[in-house]
Amino acid sequence: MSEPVSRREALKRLGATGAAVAAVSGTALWLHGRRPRGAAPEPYALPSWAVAKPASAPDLVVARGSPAASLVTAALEEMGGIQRFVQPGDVVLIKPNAAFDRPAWQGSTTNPDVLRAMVAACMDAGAREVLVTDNPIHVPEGCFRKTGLGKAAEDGGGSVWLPRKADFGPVALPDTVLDGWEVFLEPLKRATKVIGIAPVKDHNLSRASMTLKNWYGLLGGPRNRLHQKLDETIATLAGMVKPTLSVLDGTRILIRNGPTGGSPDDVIDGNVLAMGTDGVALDAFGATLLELGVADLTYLQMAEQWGHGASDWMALDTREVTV
Amino acid sequence: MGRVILLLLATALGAFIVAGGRTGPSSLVAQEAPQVVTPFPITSPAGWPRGAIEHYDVDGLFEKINGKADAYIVFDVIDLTFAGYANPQDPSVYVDVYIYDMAEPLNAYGIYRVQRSGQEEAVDAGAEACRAGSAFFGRKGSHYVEVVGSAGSATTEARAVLGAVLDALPAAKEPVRDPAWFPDEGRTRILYARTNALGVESLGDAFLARYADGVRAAVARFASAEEAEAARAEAVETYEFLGTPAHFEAADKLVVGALGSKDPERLKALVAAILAKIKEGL
Amino acid sequence: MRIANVRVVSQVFFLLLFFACLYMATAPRISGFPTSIFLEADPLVAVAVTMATGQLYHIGATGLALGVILLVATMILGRIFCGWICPMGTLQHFVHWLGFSRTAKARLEGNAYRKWYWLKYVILIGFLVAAAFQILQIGLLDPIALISRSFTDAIFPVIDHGLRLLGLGGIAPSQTPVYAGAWFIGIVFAAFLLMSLVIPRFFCRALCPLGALMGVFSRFAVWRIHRDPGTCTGCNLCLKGCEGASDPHATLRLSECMVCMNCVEDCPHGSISFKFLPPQESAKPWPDLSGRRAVLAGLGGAILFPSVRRAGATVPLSGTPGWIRPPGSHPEADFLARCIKCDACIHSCPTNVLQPAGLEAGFEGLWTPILDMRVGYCDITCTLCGYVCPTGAIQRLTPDQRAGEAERPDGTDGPVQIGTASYDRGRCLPWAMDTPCVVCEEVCPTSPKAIWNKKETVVGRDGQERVMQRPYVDPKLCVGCGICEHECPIRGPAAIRVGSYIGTV
Repeated sequence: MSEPVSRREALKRLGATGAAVAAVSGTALWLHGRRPRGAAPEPYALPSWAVAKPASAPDLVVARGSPAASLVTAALEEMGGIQRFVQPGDVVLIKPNAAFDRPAWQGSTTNPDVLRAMVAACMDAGAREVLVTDNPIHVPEGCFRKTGLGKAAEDGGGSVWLPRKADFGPVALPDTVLDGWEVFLEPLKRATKVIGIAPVKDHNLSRASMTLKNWYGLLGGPRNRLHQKLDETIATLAGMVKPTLSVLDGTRILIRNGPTGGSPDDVIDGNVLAMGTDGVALDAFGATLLELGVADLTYLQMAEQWGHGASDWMALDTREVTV
Repeated sequence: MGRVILLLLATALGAFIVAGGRTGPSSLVAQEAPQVVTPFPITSPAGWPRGAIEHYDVDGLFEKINGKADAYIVFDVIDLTFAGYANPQDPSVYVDVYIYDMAEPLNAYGIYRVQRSGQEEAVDAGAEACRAGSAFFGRKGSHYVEVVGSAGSATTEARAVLGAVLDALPAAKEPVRDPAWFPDEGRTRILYARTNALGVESLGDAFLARYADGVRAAVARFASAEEAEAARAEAVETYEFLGTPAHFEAADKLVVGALGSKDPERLKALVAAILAKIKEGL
Repeated sequence: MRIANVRVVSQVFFLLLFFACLYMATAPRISGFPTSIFLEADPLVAVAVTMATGQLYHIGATGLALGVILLVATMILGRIFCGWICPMGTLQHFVHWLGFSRTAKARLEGNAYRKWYWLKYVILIGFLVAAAFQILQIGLLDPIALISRSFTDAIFPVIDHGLRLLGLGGIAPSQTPVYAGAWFIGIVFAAFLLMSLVIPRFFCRALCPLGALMGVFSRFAVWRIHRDPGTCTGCNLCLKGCEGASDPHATLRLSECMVCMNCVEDCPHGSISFKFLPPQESAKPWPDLSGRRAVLAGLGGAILFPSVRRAGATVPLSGTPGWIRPPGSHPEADFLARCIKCDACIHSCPTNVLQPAGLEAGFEGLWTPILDMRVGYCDITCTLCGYVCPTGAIQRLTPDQRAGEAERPDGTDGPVQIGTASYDRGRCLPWAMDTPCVVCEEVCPTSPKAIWNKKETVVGRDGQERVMQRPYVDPKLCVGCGICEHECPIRGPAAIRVGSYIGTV
């Protein structure tokens, strides 16, 4: 027989065991039935970033001439000034088309001069920050470098937000093809104003890629599967994103071999830039630059049918300026 | 010793950093837009957009212009580039542009003269140009150009495109002009043949003249007097065999000939006149 | 400063420089950094690639001539590379410093010469004889290729992912790259490092063919370690820190000595020095390798040619390899005569399309770069892989040369074609399921596009007519970039796939 343990030692040892048991049980109880990691978060309903339109302000402005940056300035002025859209303290998210790792002259991406001017205008209006982002087809880092859009964003005083996996989450769009789809949410959640700047491009399947197709760059997930319902998807995007301002960049027009281009023969100098809040109207105007009509663009008809805009841009308060 | 090594390491680090400041692989930077070497304007003067530029080499020429290709091949055509402009409001109103690269100004001269009758309305563009209906033709340097407007609706635009295209094409160092050898009286056309002038195979590099009375005269050029004499003999023999009146004379490296009249004196006189003009020119 | 400490500074410096090269060797950081300099300065690469190709490759001013410079340095100073520079050696050194027993007895035993250290010479001879037959396998064990490959494929992604998890952003430009078979490359590397806990510098002493090459050339060294027998008491303390296991306490094995200078520092009597032209008899100049073993090693290398190359284990007997090489790569046999499996190209690839081959690229092709279009795609304006290639297995091209707009050194013209895409019409949506898609056409980067659509009226199962855009490939225009295969929405194997053949006939 060995010596019995002292009361003091027994208490100490039992206390240690008890604490360990309590810790394990407590942890188990705490974890029991919790939402597992990686479970889909709640779908997020995107707000509208549109601002009220002053009675005297136009719906759509078409600026013609060059250089590209002056078109932005002139069109903004005609629209009623950047102050109509951006107030001091705003976080402005600008979505150019940076889909491809290609130089700007190939016309497959937004003209960096247009982006730079727009970023600078927002900063001048007192924006707290200007975020420039896209979820491109090619490797994002290369896209923002070679297109010159990354440098343009920084020159203008903004910053580039490269997509990361954690930035994506499901969007709430009940009864549409995109309900629950992975969307590039984080920058959208942070933004108080959203501006899209889309080039005018030829596209085989949807016939044209302009301001509405530009929002495709906010989609994540296996978005190449959406091509099976491309027109429906683009029309849905017109309802998903209600931007503060949309810019149609026709300074260069990719007239064939879109949306990638690749040869100087595929691009013409358009020397035109349009601005408005209705993407449907802007795309209807842009169609004329590609020698298309609304009848050629199924997605445009769908978007109009679903009440996301008006394709008869000539019936709107449209103003022209020349630089 | 240790200090020397540490110094070497510091130098290596410096060299590494300096090297890093140099330009790296060129694929990381956006390439410059290539200078487009095409005489086709992006839009026509009226702003009609250009369609795709099509390109045909000698072998592919038949695809575009079918049987007409042979005439170009005789003149050593290199390739054809084609582009069309259409009125955006009405695609049935268009201008099509064919640019033939003929390798040498003489070939461009030759094909232009063969294709045109000489009766067309002259147009002031390039080295030489003319109009037939809503189609325009011109040559400049070693290029031959056809600009075809849609009938009746695109004449003005076709004329403007012709001017733009010919302006953009390079001129020859020594433009080809009509030689002054052929008497003017009754002359209808001057042509140029690479080979087979007056139906004689060895008569090459020849200027030809046609006269209203059906007489045809040629001045063929050779590398040496011997070759010229041999070609003259062949020509004489050929026409003696055929029994057709013809007259050929060799003069240094030239052979001058005429045929197309039943009167041998007419032919002899024409050849003599041409020879006299050539001597005068020398 | 004590000379052994200077050596430690040098080792740390070159290890950090090696890491810096790796860090810089991705777009867009690379700019002008000579990131492949360790590979170019590797004498074994210079010797073996030159034997396999008949040319001392260079691009620009230096290239593999750097390796010759290092070989010349070895002939004057001995294996300074091993003790002072080699990052693979330094890592092993570090591991055994961390974990190897610190008792004097264990260290004396650990650093004793073992007679099977001749193994590395056998490996060297085998590899070099094989290289003379255009079979270049030095990359399997060359320490620079090995460490470059291991860090690229196995360690770099782990660090990158870890940094991203910690919210510090990654090292790779966009997302953490993944590499097929990286686990195996990692295990081999870890095994070599961990062996240093059993025997210090196990890899260097027993296996390293570069060390062996330098061991042979250090025979001419004019400076070397010299023990003065007059003052030596035979305490054997010089062996305590001997990195090369080169018997400094007895007759120095010159071919094994890594010039680490520990013996000079450790000798309590000052009997050991690094001396200019010491007496011949204080060192054994040649490696401890019997002639018979050398001959057997040579035969082993030579037999690789008939058994591997000719027997179709490398290039299939059909003549067309089933795998795709990076743009600018030499034809397969010439490629294999140059590729040292360093995977610098794989590391530089911005889209992750380059993958280290397992055995799917043949026996010789192990760990050489092949393209997996489901993982990435080949950006048609990118030429980074050729830019970083130290041996020219992938030629260095400019984007213009790749596009066929400028002349290429090998005289080929037109855009560089690495393969040709073709449709699997049984799986393609517009072809097999009357479903619109043509993502492939959308992303096709050439102008005009190699993929084009034909509108075709089809009658469905329900008897209804509909107009489908069905895609076709124009093999004359297809460059094999694989973005169509990469973007194809079909699960499993894509409905359009790039084959290594060029064109159709």
